[in-house]
Amino acid sequence: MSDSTARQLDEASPVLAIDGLGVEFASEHGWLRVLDEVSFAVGPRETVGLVGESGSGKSVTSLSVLGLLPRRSSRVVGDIRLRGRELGGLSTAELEDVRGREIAMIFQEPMTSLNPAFTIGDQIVAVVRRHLGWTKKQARAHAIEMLGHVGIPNPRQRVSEYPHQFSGGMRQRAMIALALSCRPRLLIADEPTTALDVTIQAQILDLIREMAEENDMSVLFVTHDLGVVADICDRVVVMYAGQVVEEGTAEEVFCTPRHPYTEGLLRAMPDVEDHVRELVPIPGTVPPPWEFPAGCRFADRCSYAQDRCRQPVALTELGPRRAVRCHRFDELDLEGAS
Amino acid sequence: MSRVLVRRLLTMIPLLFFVTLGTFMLTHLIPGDPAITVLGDNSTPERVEAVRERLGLNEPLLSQYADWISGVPSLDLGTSLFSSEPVRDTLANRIPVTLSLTAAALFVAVLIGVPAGILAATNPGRWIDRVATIGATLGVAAPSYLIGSLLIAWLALKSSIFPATGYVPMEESVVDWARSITLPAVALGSAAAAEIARQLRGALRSVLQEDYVRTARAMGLRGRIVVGKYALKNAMIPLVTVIGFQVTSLLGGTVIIEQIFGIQGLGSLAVRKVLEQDIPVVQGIVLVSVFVVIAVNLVVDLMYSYLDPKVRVR
Repeated sequence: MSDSTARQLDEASPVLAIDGLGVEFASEHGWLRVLDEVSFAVGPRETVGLVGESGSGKSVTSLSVLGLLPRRSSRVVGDIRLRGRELGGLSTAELEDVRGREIAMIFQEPMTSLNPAFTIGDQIVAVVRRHLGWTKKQARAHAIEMLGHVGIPNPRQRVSEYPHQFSGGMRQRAMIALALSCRPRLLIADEPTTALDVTIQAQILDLIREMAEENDMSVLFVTHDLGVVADICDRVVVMYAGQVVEEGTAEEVFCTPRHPYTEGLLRAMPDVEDHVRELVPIPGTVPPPWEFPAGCRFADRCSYAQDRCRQPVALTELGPRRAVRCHRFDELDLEGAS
Repeated sequence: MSRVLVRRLLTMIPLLFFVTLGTFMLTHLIPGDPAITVLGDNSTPERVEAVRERLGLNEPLLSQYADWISGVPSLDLGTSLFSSEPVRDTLANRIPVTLSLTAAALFVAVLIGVPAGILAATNPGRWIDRVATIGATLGVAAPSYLIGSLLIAWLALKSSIFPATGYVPMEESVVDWARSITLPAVALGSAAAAEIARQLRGALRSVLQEDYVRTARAMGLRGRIVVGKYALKNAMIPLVTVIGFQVTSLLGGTVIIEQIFGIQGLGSLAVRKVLEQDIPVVQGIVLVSVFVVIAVNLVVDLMYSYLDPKVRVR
């Protein structure tokens, strides 16, 4: 196989392909299924938003990609493929080689996600030396370069500082520098801007977008905030109660949503330009896993629900990478964002 | 850092002053007269009075204390009321014995307590956690004299690997020193080992729930590095306090252990001299103990500033 065909294959196949992912947790209610038949893919250089309220299963999905769910109290079924390689059967040691090197992750809480007892530089150096086998000196130079790259002023000095000497926004930048230090192919960003104030949010989103473009990196962006998704994502996967309920390009999902839950999320989203429109929250909350209904899981909160919505509902493919899980998707005329 | 150190050393001076003043007063509250102890019960009042005069016991208490404390800076701690041996020489003989016993007990405590705590914290609910927890409970509950007596009965009297009593100085033979110190160190250190294991288990378990541990795992750092370096350094912060307390209680525990194992250290000396009301020697022992406790606290504080960058003063 020549180099160019190898690259073409690489271009075509998704970076991350999740197929039929199911997760069960041990609990006082016995084994609880919290994720059900979750399938989607993240293509090369694509940014995919994984959207839903708290309890929809998006964080469990992202943690299971890295194999970070607690081993003894969780069971995972289904396929998770990273550039064609199945991650499910890997040993802990093999998974550790993938984490940080091929897939990196940043988290919601920049204040607590960095180790308070080590300098920012030491934390980056440890990861770089672990995966790339560089000398201390090379790794440190790289750490300084990365900190500068993510927009931390005076990186030469700040590399020797501790997390508590950084502000929230700067910590999230440092976290991004750490995550990207080994040039991973996929970044999983789990609500990376939720804990930050609005102006900093925008800066961090810009930074993630820039970094993804520069490094040919794919991003799985986990968030409850559709506004953020509109800003940064090419595609959107909407999750509800442990299932994918709708998938499509960002434009499709925003302008022509096919699932009432997506419509509900859009109506609950504040619109910067249109101050007149009233925000309509979705009534109720996501049920806990031990109260998932047997039929459509959204039916209890859905204003379009009918009797047949009490029956189980499968995901319907509407086209390539366009899908919806609703009994009434072809009858409803749902309102998108303008 | 060095400024902090100097400041801490300076605050030691008033502390030493007040603690020695306190013990000085307390020893005088013990009923009985040192002069009678020196002479025996059958002496005449005139002779008692003469001895009291010679020993300075007729002076007001404060001036007796002033007399004693004025010698301390030049390490002149007075002489024993009984043997007229300088207190400094008596202490110089005994300090290495007790310090090596305390250090060996601390070594045993850390050697057993830290791995047990780590194993228990990383395997919560499994058999190894249960074994460690039961062991720790027994270790805390069992008095050191019981453990000491059992060790003598099992390991010293039935085999000749360890001597039942006595102490061999390190200068004479390192091997014999180690043999003579092992059983007392285990007896003295087991409660501290149990406490260290218990505290480390708790601290490490809560650190392992922290977001930054998840970050370290998510970045692919090896599991043993995540636990042994990233998590342990944070869990050490509360543990260092515990170890500091343990050193103090180990030092106090030598009083009993030295009696059981027939070791001529500060502890056994203290017991005898308090009963004899040999005030200069008692004062000397108190001075040394206070100094050691303060020094241990200083080391604990210095370790804090290494472990927790937030308390670091620049």
